[in-house]
Amino acid sequence: MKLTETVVLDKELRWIGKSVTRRDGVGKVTGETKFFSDMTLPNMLWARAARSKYPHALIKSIDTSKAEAVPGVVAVLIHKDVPGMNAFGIVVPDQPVLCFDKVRYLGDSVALVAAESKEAAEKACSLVEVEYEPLPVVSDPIEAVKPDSPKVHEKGNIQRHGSIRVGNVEEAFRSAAVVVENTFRTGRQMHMFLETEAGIGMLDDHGTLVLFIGGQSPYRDQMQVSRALGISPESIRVISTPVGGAFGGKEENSVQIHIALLVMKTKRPVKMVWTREESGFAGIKRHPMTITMKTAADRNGRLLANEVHIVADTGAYASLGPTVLDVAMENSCGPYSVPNIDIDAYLVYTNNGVSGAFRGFGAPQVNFAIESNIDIIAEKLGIDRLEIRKRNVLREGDVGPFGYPLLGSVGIYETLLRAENSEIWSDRAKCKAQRSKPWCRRGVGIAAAVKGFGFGALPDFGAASIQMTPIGKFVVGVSCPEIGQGATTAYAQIAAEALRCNLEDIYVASADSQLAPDTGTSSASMALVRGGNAILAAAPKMIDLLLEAASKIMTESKEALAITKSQVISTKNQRETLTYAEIAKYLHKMRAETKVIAGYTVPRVEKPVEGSIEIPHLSYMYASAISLVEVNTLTGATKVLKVFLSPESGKIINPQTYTGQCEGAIIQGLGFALTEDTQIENGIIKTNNFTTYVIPTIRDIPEIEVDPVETYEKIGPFGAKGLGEIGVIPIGSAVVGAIHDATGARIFTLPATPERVFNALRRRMEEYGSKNQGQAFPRTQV
Amino acid sequence: MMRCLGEWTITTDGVHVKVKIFAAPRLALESEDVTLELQDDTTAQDLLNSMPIKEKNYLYVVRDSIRLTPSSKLHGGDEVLIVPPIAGGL
Repeated sequence: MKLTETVVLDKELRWIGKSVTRRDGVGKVTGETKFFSDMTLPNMLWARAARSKYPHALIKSIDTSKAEAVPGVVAVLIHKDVPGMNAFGIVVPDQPVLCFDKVRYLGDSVALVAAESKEAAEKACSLVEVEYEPLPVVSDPIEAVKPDSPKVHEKGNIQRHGSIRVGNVEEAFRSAAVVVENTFRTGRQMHMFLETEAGIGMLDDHGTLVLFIGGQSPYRDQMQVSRALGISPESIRVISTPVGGAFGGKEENSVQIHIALLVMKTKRPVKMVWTREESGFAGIKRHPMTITMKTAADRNGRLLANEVHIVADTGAYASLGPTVLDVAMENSCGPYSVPNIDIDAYLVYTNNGVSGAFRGFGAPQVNFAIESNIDIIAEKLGIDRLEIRKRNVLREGDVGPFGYPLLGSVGIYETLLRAENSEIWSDRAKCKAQRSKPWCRRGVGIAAAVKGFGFGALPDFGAASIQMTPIGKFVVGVSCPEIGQGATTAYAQIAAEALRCNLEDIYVASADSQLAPDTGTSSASMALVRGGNAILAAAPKMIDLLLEAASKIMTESKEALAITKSQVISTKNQRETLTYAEIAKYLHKMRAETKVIAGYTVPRVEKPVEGSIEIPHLSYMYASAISLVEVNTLTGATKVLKVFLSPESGKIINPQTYTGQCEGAIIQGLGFALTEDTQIENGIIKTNNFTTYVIPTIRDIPEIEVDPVETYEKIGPFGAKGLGEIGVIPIGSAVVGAIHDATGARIFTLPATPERVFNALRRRMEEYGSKNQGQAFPRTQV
Repeated sequence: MMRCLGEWTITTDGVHVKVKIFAAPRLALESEDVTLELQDDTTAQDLLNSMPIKEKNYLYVVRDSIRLTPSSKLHGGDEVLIVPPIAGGL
């Protein structure tokens, strides 16, 4: 059954497209929301992991006797206490729950302690005696692939090699008017969520293991805990919300299995909260990438070929690296039509922490490379930077770069038109002419971005449930956690719209494996589309249930009934109505079924592109960004003054949360562009707190303008499409484009720190001097 | 639109279930043409247990886009998909 005109009387959208207040907003803004790291339980123990003392070493022996003797210590566990599979990792389970023969980074755990106090747990960890045989540290991913490099894993340091060939790049390079080749490097960005990896576990009265752990998928956590403990997933309940920030960094297991092991051992509630420093050296990071890109165009700026070589540092373990590599490959040609493509990408093990999922998932790194090369080609051909992008972007009805049709809406051209008409682009000469100091220079940069939402060619499903309460309201079960993206509010809007009821009559039971069916993950910018569609699959079943009951009460055929404004109405005599509350009363009195469940399968291609895991997606997100920056030519410091972002949005479910998502993504993109890079030397992290690792603060936030191009996405609920990641992707590219526009200095390594910008300026001056018989660089140009 | 690399019919005393396997080579399935005999009251976990797959804890069973719990009963005429955990994106 579908929502048809015969069932739904009122066609006007009451909730979709409205800026209703985010349900979790007030609590989070006022600080009243209690996260799991704030939670305590009676008789609770504190847990801590004893971590490796070396970035790379063999374990010769482990002695826990001194740790066990510390007063207050209740349990000390090592590898032999892991009853199930002693490994985790969503794509490739290659990370030990507790190490037994070898450690591969400083975050590796060798023992677990549960104690009556944090202090006792910490002291016991320090007394776990491990005899190590240190091994040479592998810190450079380029060196790591060489045959004589020390092996992080026995099978070698290349975790994955992906390659894709389309057409003939060599032929295209020979016929091109311009060919540019550059090497780009990106930083190891940290998520820096305000709540570190944390949670609390307990056994309930039924013996069920209950885990309260902020994460991105309760069912995936349940699966990883289940296989490590060797117990049925049905005996594990995971509640994953509220989450104090995630951004991809809470998609992988962190504290889940450790807490579960200690709860099962002690039969007492156990809490584990990683310190900020622990989150720094043990947690997930964005993959640093070295990208060599050779791009060719004809004299009109039409792209002819792109040859891409990527080396991604996944650190000690794979985590989600294999699919991050796919997304990097898929997006390495940007939102452009490129007929000849040659990509080789390597995911490499080192002893540099662990890299994994991070908002953008490989796309921001390659966007920096392709967008920079486009700028350079435009400069060489004397074509306007925005114009060259307009000439090359994909359009509705086009075939994607890997030969598959683009099923979803394609609005990148329209976003470029919005960018063209924005104040900072159309008045850029005026914007650039201003400066706060005589030695400062202003410039404007532009970038276009693309990323698929969902899992591409991989299977992707989600289910939702709807239950009617005894007073005629609805509980909507969706397991995708609210990670700050506004999903819970959007789900409520979608459900209220589909069920034609008031928004306050919808309660969203989210992210609880006992209360909601598996709706998949809050990841890949897909929670809205997958969860929303699952709700839209369940809603007709609930409407059918309502009509069936109303038919009996009203002694009217079901076909002559319709729903409108929280009631069932007779289409023959519209004065005959029955409220949802009255139907609920009847259903509960009759002890009839009041719950429905339905699922949604995401469309995908039959077979992925050869050499890939999940390429292509059928639907993509698009955006264009412009930034206005001011560069201090004496120090190299860059200040971003304004960012304009035009995403192609699909139907916007909630304009307020939409804008908030974009603003958050832009700010995270500014960190990627200018400051954020975890410094690791010989396997030892040097920047693991907010003092040494610098993220944008309120003082750094520029003026932001978001101007979405509203379209209709065919696969989205009410025409909506994914959003979470697209805003972060073009920001780094737009900022370095602006730095070049301001100073003529080209940046090839992110973040564009003052030192890098200053050195690029100096190189620019030296190049000018060598080309102009030693003349000083004109002051007017810098 | 399910990709099907391994497909076979499971025949029991009254439960005929069509099974599709995603990424069969990754699961080290040598043959795409396997017939398995199951008991009555077959559950999703029984189905996984009957498969010649080494690491069954990786897998879950999906019917009508809904992930089944291990104890979910299979019904005659069901079409189910067996998938490993997958990922991609934020």
